[in-house]
Amino acid sequence: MICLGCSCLCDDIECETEGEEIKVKNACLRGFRRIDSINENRLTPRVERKEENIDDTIKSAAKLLEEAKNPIIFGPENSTLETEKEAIELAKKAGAVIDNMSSFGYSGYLIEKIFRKEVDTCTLDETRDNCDVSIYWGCDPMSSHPRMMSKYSYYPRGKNRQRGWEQDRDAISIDVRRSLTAEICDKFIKVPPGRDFELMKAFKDVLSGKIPKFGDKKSIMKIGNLIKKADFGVLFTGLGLNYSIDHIDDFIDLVKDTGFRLQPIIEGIGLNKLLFDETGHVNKINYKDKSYGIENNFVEALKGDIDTALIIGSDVASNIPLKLAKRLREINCIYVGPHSNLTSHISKVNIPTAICGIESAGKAYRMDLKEEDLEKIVDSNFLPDQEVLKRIGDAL
Amino acid sequence: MSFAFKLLKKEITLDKCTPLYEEEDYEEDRRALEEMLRPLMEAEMTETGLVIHEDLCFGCGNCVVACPVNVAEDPKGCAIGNGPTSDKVILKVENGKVKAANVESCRRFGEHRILCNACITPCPAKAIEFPGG
Repeated sequence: MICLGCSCLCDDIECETEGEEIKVKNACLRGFRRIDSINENRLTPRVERKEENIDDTIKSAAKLLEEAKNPIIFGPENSTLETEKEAIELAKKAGAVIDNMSSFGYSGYLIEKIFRKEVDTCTLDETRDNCDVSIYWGCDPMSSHPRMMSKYSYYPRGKNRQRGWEQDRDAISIDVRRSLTAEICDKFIKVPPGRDFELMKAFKDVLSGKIPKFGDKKSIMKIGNLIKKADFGVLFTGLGLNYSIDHIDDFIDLVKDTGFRLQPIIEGIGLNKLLFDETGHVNKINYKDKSYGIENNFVEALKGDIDTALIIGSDVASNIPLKLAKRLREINCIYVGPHSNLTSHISKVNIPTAICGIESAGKAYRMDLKEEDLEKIVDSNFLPDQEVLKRIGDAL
Repeated sequence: MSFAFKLLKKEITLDKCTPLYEEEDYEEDRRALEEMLRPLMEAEMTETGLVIHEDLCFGCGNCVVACPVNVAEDPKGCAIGNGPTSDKVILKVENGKVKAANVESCRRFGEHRILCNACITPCPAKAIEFPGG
């Protein structure tokens, strides 16, 4: 089976069930917990904290969206392409803003550049077969995507990297703290928060044969020379970098200068791709007037005059400042997802769904846009999330 | 020293050192030793001395892919980053935690053993150790 625990979409997972006990082979703890959670912490259908049947929750959600002046749809996360398509259709019907986690920081901007082919990228399979230098800048895949380094970027033997991590590959971590990824990388640069831009300039200096003026000059020169000599370099970026630099285009220039391939580590790239194909932008779309802009970013919209939010499978309340989470509680919030969490707790309507890739089938994109087919492993009484969205759309 | 080695190999327990438990002067030392040895005594140690701390492991599989025996025994599975396709591998991930099997194949086992640390180095959580050295 395919694991939808993160955007690595590991395809070598084996799952056996013996009565209520589940035995999962090859999945990391994150993936295992997702599979093991089919009997845990499941969401119950509720309207204003009162238990209702699923049809009534769908009707209530449709009513709230219908009455909304400025609705927003956020997500879906860990979901299927079919759900993402339905979310876009629903946004069109409701005249809503649609956005996802990629609008936090510059992830979406980098993804858009990649879709427009303005920056080189590569697939994870190409990374495994060819990568000799991998840089993890402002990201900690060991925490967020535990199998990424063992399956693709560092430890495996690739077609052209037969001697694997011991001799053929170098890994460099750049972060504000010694993360789990930094623990296993060959080299680690600790950057004070907000000073990534100075490090970028230091790397540019090394690439043009100058002595860097930032940090530990000796180690920056060593790493700079390693970057220069790289045959097939891949640069993984995460929210840490996205939040730390103001001049993202300078960063893109640096990536081009190094000849590295860029791979932002993000979730929910399927929605980004679908929106890009339709509108030319990957997020922050308002279907009321088909506009695109920062005002449609989920956080900015919450600060503005949004009155209804439909959150699909994303515990966004845990990821935003408390003040904004309180605002989310004040407006009409509808949560659609398999498990209960902080977002479902503060929502007025809770609609439970099946867990994608376990209780419902579909397609999903890996972080490098490889399409994978998800199977249904166990039967369940929960509706797939695409069906819930379709029924809300039909009731509008 | 032989007592210490036997202790690390789990052939003997700390309470066999009677002065530690009978004389008040050693009470502080005994507590320190008990605390130091607690992870070792609680963990399941394999015949090679390999200890996996399941409470720390999060199943990233770095050790599975990095182990030279796994790579040699399973060139189309573990070696290329996938889950094991052979029964002869030493390390594999089950239910999100790494498990050891076939430890007699480990390079630290047998007459010609070497101090291989290929599974310890890639573990970001420090969940694998050989307390016996």
